[in-house]
Amino acid sequence: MRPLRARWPLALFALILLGWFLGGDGTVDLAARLQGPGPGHPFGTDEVGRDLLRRWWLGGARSLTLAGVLTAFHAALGLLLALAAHRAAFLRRTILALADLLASVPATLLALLLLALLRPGLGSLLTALALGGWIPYARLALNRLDVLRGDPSLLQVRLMGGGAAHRLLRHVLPRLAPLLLAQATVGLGAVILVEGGLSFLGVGLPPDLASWGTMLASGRAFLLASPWTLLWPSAGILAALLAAGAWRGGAGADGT
Amino acid sequence: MKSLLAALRALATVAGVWLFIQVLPRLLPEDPARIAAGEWATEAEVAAFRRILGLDQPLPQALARSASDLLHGRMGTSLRFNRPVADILLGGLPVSLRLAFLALAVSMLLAWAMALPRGRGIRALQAAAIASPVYVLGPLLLWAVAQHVPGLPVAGVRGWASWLLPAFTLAVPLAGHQARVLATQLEEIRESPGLRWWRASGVPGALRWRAWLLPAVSGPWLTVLGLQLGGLLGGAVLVETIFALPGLGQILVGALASRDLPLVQGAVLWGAAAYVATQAAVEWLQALLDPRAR
Repeated sequence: MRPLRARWPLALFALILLGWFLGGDGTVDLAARLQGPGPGHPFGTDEVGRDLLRRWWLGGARSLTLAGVLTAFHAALGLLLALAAHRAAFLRRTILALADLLASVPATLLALLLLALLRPGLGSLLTALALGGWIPYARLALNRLDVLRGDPSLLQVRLMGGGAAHRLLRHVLPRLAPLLLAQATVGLGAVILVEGGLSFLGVGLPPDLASWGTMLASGRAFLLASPWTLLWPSAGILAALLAAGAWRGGAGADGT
Repeated sequence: MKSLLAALRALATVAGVWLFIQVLPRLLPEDPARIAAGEWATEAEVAAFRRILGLDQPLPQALARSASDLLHGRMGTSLRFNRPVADILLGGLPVSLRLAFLALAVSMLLAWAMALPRGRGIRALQAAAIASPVYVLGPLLLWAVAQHVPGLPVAGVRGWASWLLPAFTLAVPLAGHQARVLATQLEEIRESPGLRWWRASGVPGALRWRAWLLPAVSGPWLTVLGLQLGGLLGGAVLVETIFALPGLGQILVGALASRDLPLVQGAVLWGAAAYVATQAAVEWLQALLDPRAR
């Protein structure tokens, strides 16, 4: 398995992340609302006259950063829980039962349930998305840890006096990393997808924070007046998901 | 015997989800009664909501009440409509079911159309279908198709034509995932020595399909179909919102906006139960079709 084979997705992500350096998403100019692409505004303007290119770029950077941070968090949490489950039998039973339970509720429903119980905001969105995201990482890592348990090379390191921390950091984690990285490219796409959907419904990011999901949600109302409010964020999400898919090398068939 | 065990396990999972949904409001830092009553409610009003939600009772008693309700076919009372949650959900169920099965049928056709041809172009098409979220595709279709076709309903349920766009929107990403699984399987089998030997010895194409290829791909295809149908039965939240279809997804979004906790809990429990039941049914079906899975 060789994930991260294609290089162009990385270039695309880096380009979009440059949006953070724009510093703000433009000024309101009601005289120039809902314009098509033109000299002053290469992408056109939105319903209150803000430059769509600025908003698209900054919103993309925000969506991608959110997805990246969450994916890293999911992977770290999954790894920690797998290590805990590997140590004690009762923890293993508890954690696997919890994973089975959370995996039997579709991800969007789980997030919506949590959002009904928390105040709207960025923190709630992060919590809602983090609740079930760790499951595949934990299952994969635990599986591999079980395989490594009987590995002769690890036994040798132990016999030569390698401590627990040394074995974990230098011998176990490097062998888990490629597996978790491959899963992370799947997870990145999934988080972009769900976050966009929640923002589209108006329960994700607050509408004043530009992201591709919130831009789609507000642009939908001005579909006929100016399709550009809709087309740019659509193109952004499509490109990001295609890039995430190409990054993992085209393999993998994950349910919905 | 084995199918009985599987049914029991599915039942236990649903019971676990029910327990989780009941306990979760008490674990979170926010007071659900305060959220339901609103920012500016008085303490007395919050206390009233706490009573309605059963949060004033200790957990075992609240669980016993909810369990007894559930066994009697009740799921609590909606805060917003003051009607039984089960009645409201049953009202939205036909729309969601029709949308789910229509979308699944369309996706099966699209999947085969995308799985049979070979080449780089078709691979790219599969990847594009997988990377097309319904909340991107739906509005795009509205813009590209609906405004140029007079008489095509774009919102609500008015005759058969109003199902066209929603079902197609929902079907595209599903078809992409199915097509990828089908294409991968087909490629593997087509190159297998056994099938090449069949082809070389002149076994006709129809027989090769009926006796080897179709049975071989049906297992993995069924698994994907089961996951997809299970996800759809809980209501297609996004598509129902885009096309204003009065199904379970719309009910859930409305309940979320009005902080109607019992209705949200009911909708999520139904979604999880439908998902688990579909998985169990698919497992049973696969054991029926494939002796190795028994």
